[in-house]
Amino acid sequence: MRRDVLSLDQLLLGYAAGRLGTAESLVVAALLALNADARRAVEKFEAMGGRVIEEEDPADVCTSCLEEVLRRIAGSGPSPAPVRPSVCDDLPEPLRSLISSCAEEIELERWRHARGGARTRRLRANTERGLHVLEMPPGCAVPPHSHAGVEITLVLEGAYSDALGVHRKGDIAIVADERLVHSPTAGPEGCVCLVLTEGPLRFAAPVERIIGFIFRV
Amino acid sequence: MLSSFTIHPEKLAFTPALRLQNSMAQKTYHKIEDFQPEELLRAVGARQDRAAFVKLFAHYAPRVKSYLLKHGADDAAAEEIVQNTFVTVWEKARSFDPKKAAASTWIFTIARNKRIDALRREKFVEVNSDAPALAQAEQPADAAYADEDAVGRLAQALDDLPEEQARLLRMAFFEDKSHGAIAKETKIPLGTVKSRLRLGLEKLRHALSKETERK
Repeated sequence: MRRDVLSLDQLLLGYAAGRLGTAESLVVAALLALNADARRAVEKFEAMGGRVIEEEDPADVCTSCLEEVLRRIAGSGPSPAPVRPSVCDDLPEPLRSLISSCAEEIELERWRHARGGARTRRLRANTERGLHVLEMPPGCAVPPHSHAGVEITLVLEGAYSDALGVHRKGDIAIVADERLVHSPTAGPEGCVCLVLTEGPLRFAAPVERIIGFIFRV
Repeated sequence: MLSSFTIHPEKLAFTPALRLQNSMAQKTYHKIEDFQPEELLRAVGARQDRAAFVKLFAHYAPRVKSYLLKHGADDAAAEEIVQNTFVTVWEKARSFDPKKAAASTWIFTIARNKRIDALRREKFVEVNSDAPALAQAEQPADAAYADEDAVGRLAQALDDLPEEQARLLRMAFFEDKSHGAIAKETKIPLGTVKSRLRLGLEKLRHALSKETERK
């Protein structure tokens, strides 16, 4: 939450305005569940939305519209929240609940093992972007790399550090500078992250470039 | 001075003189003097008050429809989304908390989610307030925020934004315009558009944290 506030604000604003797709809104929804500051920021932006609704010029609404609504709510009280079976018990909260709530839109691939005891799991959403859960054991490091396009990383459990500092549970890091080379390294408790990438990783070392596909994040 | 009148609809209900000024301060769209959307929404949530629900519909449905039309819905689609929005308003009214959001804001978020579900084939992932992680985080972290003034102070922060910043923010927010398109339309240089947007967002973001620090 320390770096790149401009981009974070824009991400949160995009969420409040309803501009984000499935993958991005999943990342923000998980962030909001973990991070009260982000939640407050979104509430402020949503208040702007309320203001805009209040100031809209009223459009003509057909009289049958209200009748239809009244017919649909007839006899129905407030509905209890549906209980959905959890489909992914080995993912941390809030991700597990969020994915359960949109199981039709997000397809979970199986875990793939990566170097150093790490493993990744792809979440297939209706997007060109890559969305992965990355689980790293204590001290595990992703080899130095940069990114084609923006990378957004939300820490779900534990902590990791890289060129930008230490990122703890509930922190979100947005790397928009394609020149930045970083090597995320899990802290002593290990780390579970949700990572959204626009393009492939570019590993700095030639050997990693060849075997880099192993870290398909 | 006006700030103290725009904040507590429920408290002001006991003082007719203040209430009059309150409705005047809230611009012309509240012509009905005693339109108290937060109270109405609470009545719907607490006792399934249909008369209150119809009043809310009469005020907000045309505005929600207007918002939907601006976002590319045709007339039939807009009416259907309005219906879905208000069915959900009815069903979820019990979870409305006037300490956390104004009624207009709460209805906006429902309309926004219905719009996305209907117009895009993508799912908009919502934060579920029943999620265990959220419930845990809620208590200590939000305690300072969940006071009665928060919503009013936020309204004030929106009022206090310089007009130019507020206008640019709205364009970026609600008309899905890129910074470039905004710069072209307003004839403001791109760099200035970006910096004013950034300032506007920062002001909003800090609007309540300052208040909290002062306590």
